[in-house]
Amino acid sequence: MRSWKPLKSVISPVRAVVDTSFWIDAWRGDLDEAEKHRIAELWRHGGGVLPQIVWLELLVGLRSPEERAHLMDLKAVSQWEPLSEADGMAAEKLAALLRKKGVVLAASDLLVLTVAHRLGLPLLHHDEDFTRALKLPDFAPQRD
Amino acid sequence: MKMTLDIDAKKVEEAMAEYGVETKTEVIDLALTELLRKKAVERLLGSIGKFPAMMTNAELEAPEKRHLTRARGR
Repeated sequence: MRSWKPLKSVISPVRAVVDTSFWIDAWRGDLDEAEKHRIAELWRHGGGVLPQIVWLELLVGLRSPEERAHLMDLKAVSQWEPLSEADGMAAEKLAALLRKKGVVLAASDLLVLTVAHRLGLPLLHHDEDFTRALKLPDFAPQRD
Repeated sequence: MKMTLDIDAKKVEEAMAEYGVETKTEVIDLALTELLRKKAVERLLGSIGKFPAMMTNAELEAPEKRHLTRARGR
């Protein structure tokens, strides 16, 4: 089975994969000041990675034309990351690995985590399931 | 779209050199893309916290979570 390299710290580089939960809380007003600053920097420098599955989740959750307009802006300023067959297979392996450790992630979360690992980038999220997975020894974030 | 423009040649050449692009069309396209991106960033910065009624992540994941809970219960 493929070994999983630890994710880098969520406070380091200019690029980061951003999960649906983080975007939603940004728009709902549930980010702290440091997180607001981080997201503003990602937008300004085009360093936010938008995995295809995150885009799909956000589209599914739309409730208004205004939300849709901001979603289009988000796509325009982000680095688009399509999913591949290899991502699907890696997510399957990740699911098995996590299940052995007692953590069950939703399919969409598995794909987001797979993309973050493939790119070797930190994952910004507001999701307890990710927190549980990332607390496991093999998935602990690196500190700079 | 084809069009005739009256623009500062020095600026065009400087931008082409700075960004390593080989045609005027390419550098104008790049400039427009960057202008639009900048505007999108401004709109996004103004959108933080503006949608308190947006569907939460828990609501979004609820159908799949129910499925996972059932699967684990089997």
